Amino acid sequence: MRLDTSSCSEPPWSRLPGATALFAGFAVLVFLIPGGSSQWQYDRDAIAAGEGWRVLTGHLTHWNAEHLAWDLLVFVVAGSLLERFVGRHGFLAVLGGSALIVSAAVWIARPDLLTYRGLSGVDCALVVAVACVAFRRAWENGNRRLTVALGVVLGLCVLKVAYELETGGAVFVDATTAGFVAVPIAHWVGGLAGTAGAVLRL
Amino acid sequence: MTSRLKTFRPSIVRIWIFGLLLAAFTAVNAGAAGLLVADGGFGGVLEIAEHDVRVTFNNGVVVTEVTQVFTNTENRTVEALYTFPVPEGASVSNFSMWINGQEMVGEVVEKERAREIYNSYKQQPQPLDPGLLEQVDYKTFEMRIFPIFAGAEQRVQITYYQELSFDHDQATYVYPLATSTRQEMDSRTQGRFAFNLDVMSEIPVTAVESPSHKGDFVVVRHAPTYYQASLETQGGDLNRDVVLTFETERPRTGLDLVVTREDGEDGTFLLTLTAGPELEGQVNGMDYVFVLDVSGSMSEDGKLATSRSSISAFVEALSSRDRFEMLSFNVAAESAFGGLRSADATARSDGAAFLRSRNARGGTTLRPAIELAYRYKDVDRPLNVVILSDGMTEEDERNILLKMIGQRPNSTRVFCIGVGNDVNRPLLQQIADEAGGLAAFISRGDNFARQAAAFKRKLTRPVGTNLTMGIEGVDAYDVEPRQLPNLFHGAPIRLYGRYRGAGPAQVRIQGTVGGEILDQTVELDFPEEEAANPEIERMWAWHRVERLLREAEKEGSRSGVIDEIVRLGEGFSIVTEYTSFLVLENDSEYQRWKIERRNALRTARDREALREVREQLETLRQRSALKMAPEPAPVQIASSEPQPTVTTPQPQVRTQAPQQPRRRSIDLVPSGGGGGGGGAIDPLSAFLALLMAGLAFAALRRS
Repeated sequence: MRLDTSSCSEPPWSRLPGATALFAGFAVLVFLIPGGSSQWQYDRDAIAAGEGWRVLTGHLTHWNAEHLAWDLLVFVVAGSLLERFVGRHGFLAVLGGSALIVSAAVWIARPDLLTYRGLSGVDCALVVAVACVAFRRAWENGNRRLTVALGVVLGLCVLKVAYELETGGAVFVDATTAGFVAVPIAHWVGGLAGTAGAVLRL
Repeated sequence: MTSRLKTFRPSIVRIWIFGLLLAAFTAVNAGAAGLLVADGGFGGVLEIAEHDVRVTFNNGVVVTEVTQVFTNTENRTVEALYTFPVPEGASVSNFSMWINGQEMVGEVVEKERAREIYNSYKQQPQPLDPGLLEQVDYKTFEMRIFPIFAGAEQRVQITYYQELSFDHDQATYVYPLATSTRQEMDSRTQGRFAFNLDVMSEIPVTAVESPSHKGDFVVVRHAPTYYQASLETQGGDLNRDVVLTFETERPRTGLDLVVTREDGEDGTFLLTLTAGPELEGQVNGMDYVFVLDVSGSMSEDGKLATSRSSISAFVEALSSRDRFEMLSFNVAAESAFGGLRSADATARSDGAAFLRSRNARGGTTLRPAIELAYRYKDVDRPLNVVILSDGMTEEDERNILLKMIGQRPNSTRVFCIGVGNDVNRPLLQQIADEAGGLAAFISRGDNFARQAAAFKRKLTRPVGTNLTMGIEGVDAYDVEPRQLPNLFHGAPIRLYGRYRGAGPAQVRIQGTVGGEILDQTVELDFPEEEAANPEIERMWAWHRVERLLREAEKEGSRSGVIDEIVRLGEGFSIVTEYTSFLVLENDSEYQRWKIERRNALRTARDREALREVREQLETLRQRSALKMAPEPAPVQIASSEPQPTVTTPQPQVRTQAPQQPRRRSIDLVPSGGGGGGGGAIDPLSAFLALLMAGLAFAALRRS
């Protein structure tokens, strides 16, 4: 495990989560540009036709403002933490790796889905990665309360995703009014990717 | 004759007179074949020397161009009167005559005025060549040409547009030849009959075939998106409709946009909403009552035989969970079983015997049959009443019938199948529309098993109900239809409209799809200029006219809509019950009558667009030929067709390369899946994630 050992002598902006801000800004920009989301979304036919970059950019596109707001909230918080405590490279590794793995899972497990948008799969990876790092740190430091609390919350997250997988929909998200189909497999695979990232990279 | 017709305005009288003329004509055994039937005026005989049909199917809209050459075999000058039935949903868009070897394109003029101008030429001592194309009623067009001198040939061309009727992954095109107006006549053409079809589809075509003329057609596949078919006979038997079917890869649930727009003018758009196979659900058993018309009019043109075959094929397509009953009616209704029976082998056999025992005779009173059909409604099972009829019910009964449809039991839908080409399409369509059902039209040459299977899919249940479509970002107006019908499998919803402004626009679709609420907004681009697809402009106007007429029928008076129909007819060059095509000998004659050459300009634009489509097809053909040829060889190609001089004003034609029509497919995302998906962070997930982040922050800071 490595921690970012930035010192007080470093300029203050170096501790800012610049990569997180950059990707969050890009997600907002894509949403605001007319036609941008369609241009960058995961599109099965377009990917098959050679537009492979969509497997990465698709996560930065969203179906509506509410979808964007919730995804972005978690992305900014979890991304900032991860970027601060494991460094920019670690953050980018988890981000890029989970984006690829989630898209691959959607491709394989949901061939009926022609299009996919949303940061939530990546969000799950970031949150779980942060939690895994923190869990390990708390365990090593002998902080039993924090270890238990993190374990309980992680367990709740696992239960929630398992419930989504079983029911095929997201809790508290009415897919019909949201205007898109919830894809729990993306959360599950995102969580696994975050765990793997924490174990391998961090 | 024309002056008498003018006096007796009601069309039914004119049809009756025309019927007498036809009967007289039959006695002289005219040599006629094809869509247009000549009665030769007062006993004159016109033979069809040549009959060419060129059909271009371009992504759902079909352009049919019929060129016929008639020969006056009499030894005197005659006025020619032709009549032909209009195919389902067709809009006549051009009428041309060749005068002194030159093509003269007709212009659409208010009907009475067109008739007056036409008659004024007939009364002149030195008659000029006028031609008049009129819509007699909802299904019949008449064409008058005067004079045709003894032994002379007369070439005419009619173009009509229609939407292709899609049945799931199959589309059917019918060129009507079997009509009751000529059933007694010699069905052998005296000359050449050629039928050429080009099929261009963005959804790959998997097969093209002709159920009516198996073995007669040559079908060539040049590319997955381009097929060609042709048929040519000399003195052949043409008493069957030409039916062609195209099988495509199943379309996905989605929205397609087609636009056309001349620079500086408002545009026209066509939005097509299609239900894909992924929305098909498991359906429990349903009840069906087949209501068969056995009135006298069903004996014509093999309509009863067609109906029997259709019902038999339909019953075969039922599952063992379904129950069915058969009723026949003329002036009274009669049932086959006296109750609903499960669709097993015995019931099917009994049903077939009942159908065989039916003979066509008597008048048509549909009301008692529908009343009886409603009594079969079971409280816990949906009932589908399927009426097979030519719709020739008593005029007085129409309003009562429509009222009855409105009072049908819950979970009951009424479907109408029009049999033959001479059906009362508006009535059957209106009955089906108002009963939440569908109308379909079956031709004698059709494949009944396929039609039955397709219709069964539609009957299972509507995919989408209570649908609305809103457009923001451009100013969309005059949208047709005003209220969207239910969305069925194999029956896409088409929404026509006009628009101002340009650029990306948000199309919001709301409704209930597969029992779940759908509310989705998709983005589509509405361009400032689009030369392709000019046909949708006329289709929009035609739909508007149809809607105005339907509304007027309900109100019981047409007086409020006639002016608007004339305006649309003249403005968009479409023949209606109140506008006619008039062809005059030269441009100066049009000027003399102060008739604008709007259709000449429009036709030139249409032909340019069609030429571009055909150029694209030719490129595909050449590519396909190159693949087959051993090595390229220089070939000098000479056109075998005469190139007539067209004296029409020429619009500015752009010299750029042919463009693909602007189309955009957007996948809809109903809750059942099949379209787009996304990860969704809901409030609970966000809470857990933030809680975890807070704990992680605390843990990491302490370390």
